[in-house]
Amino acid sequence: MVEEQRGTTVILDNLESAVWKWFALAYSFDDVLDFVQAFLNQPRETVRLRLDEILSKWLSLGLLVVAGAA
Amino acid sequence: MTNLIVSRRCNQHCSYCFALDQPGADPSEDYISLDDFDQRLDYLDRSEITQARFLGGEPTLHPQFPELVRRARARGKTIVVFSNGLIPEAALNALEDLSPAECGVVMNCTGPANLRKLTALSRLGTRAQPGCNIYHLGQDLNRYIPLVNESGCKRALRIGLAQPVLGGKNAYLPAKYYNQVGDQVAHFALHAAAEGIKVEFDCGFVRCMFSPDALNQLVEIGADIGWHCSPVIDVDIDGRAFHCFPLAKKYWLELEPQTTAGDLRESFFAQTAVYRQFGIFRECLDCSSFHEKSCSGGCLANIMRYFTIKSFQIVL
Repeated sequence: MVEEQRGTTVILDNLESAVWKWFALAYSFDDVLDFVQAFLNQPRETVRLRLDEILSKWLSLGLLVVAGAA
Repeated sequence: MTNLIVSRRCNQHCSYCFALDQPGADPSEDYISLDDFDQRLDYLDRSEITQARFLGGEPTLHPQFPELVRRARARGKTIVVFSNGLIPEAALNALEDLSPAECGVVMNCTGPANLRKLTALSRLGTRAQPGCNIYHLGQDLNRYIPLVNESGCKRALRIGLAQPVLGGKNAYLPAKYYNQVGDQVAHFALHAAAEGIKVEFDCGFVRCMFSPDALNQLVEIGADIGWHCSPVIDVDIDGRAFHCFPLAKKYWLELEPQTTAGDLRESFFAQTAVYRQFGIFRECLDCSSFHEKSCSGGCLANIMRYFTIKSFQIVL
């Protein structure tokens, strides 16, 4: 993934790549949670934590911004 | 170097073509005006470029092509024409009037044999050389050897790999076929060398598409392969300069009165730097040739296809 304005690059592999594509295809958070649960075959709460971890990482890398944030 | 687009019109319709096929509503916009062409020559002068490279569409369709050539020659430029070979008589005469030292024509001969192209190639003699674009597996390269032998043209063949146009729909050779094409091209280049025909390679080739033995043999026969993405800037008839045709829709700059080719190249390199960290294959990241910059990892347009930027919202 390339963030052109900041000139940064991030490689999204495996689960992260899949999650990015699911969100880009406009699946809801709950849908993606279902997909990841099926993908990892782990309890829902564990999967939610994993997804939170991925989104936090993307936020820190600047790939995501919080709507309305300055 | 810089290619000057003088015509957006073309009298062929090639599925792999990466030239912009967007003629303006006003037919006069399909061809560069003489005043604008003079400005392009000014640009070449201040960039200290000695070649006037004519590109299209089909550049020889310009109704005043002989006058364009005359004006470029008056500035002391060597003429290079990228043509499909279906050249109007007046343009062919203008090129025949120049010596091989003053003029070179790269004639795209991809596709079925065509008598009109063969005739033009013969008439231009050593001013011209055939070229071909590989856009699918199984293209017969050996047929170019009799073409060179029979036409009496320059004993060289330019080979290009059709690349995807960003945001376009042209046919191109997917990277997964590069190894197969590499074997075929290397074998052909050796065959051609034995016939005294030099094979020249366009940009976009990568080292790993050739086996180590084939690579050594290509070096031995003096093959000149463009491992680097060093853009030959294209300037459109409306004054937009772009990195290259495949990236034309993404990276372009207006040609200002003081702009030089050096300025443009610097800007385009800066704009594309982030993508130059990658190659067309995942393995490029671990490849010593890529890190040592002896291979750029293939065409940027092909690389950038992996980085489709999608804006989306996540509602929690």
